Amino acid sequence: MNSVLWNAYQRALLLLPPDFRHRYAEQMLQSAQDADADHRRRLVFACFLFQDLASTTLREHTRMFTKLISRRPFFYQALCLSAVAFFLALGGYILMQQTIRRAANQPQRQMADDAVRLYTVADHLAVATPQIDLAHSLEPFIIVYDESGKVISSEAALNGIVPAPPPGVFANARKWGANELTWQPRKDVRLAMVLRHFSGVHQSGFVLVGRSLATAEQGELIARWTALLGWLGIVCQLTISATIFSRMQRGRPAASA
Amino acid sequence: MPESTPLSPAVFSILLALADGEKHGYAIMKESAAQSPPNKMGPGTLYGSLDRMVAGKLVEETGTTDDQRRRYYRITRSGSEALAAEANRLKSALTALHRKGVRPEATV
Repeated sequence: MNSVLWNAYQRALLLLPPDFRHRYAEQMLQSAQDADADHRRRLVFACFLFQDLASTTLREHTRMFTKLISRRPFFYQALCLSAVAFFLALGGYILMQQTIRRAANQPQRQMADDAVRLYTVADHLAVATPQIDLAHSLEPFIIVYDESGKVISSEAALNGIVPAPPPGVFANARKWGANELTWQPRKDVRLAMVLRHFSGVHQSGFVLVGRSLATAEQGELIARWTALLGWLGIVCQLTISATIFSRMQRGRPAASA
Repeated sequence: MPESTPLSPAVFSILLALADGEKHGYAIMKESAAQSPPNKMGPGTLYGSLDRMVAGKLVEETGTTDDQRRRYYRITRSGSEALAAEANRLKSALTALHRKGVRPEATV
């Protein structure tokens, strides 16, 4: 085996569990070097050596872990319960986050449906002037676009300009009749938007009804911290319980002796 | 009783290699390869097995070393008993095979 492979093998020995490595790594290396000197097909031997090391690493880590579990059963149980609690907290957070986010689509849905009903039968569209500042307002707003995505009417603007979602959003709404998503016209501005396509007698286009997600995001933040702190609380409680039970168990034979 | 349970091929090879005297790791590897040519034993398998066997008191370190990297191991009394028990088991199996007319050549 050449020096590169020897160096790789020597480094790979670091993957072994520390105790085992401390006791046998030097001996393993010496035996491997002795064996290498006797082998003519060096590459085949190198493959065999690395395969042997991989299986040994896996086996010894499993053995070490099993030993650890048998030595400290309460801590192992606490670890398992912590993992279960983590997934429960994560699941709880995802559920809360989804509930909050979906709730943030109201009243936009209702407003968009009403606007579509109105624009479908209207002779002409009333043109609104942008009075809502998207960067700061929590108020719902309506923007009407024509089929090409050009603004017809808008109640809101961002830095004096009425923003438009990417063309793909319009294409999707045209295809499916509606599109509901989170729109981020600027890095710090996130909106829950509902886009509906309408085909009126005189005009067709899109109605976009949106609202700032600032309130919903505050709710999500609270949910995230609740889940995290709840999980950390459970972990602390489990650690304390495991420590107490371990000490009680250790004290038992001494008391009976 | 650990002596009465069948030994794994690696443990059996190591005990057999050490049956005639103390040896260092590579000598054990070499002899076990000679005993069963297709089944080579790598350093990891060897020292993993030796570690378990030292813990199970089947073998022990002699304390004599060429250097820190080449330590010698010898079989203990329990190790010899386990090897003898395994030999008896193999002998019984071989007798049963002969009785049933199974010949080693037929399987090659």
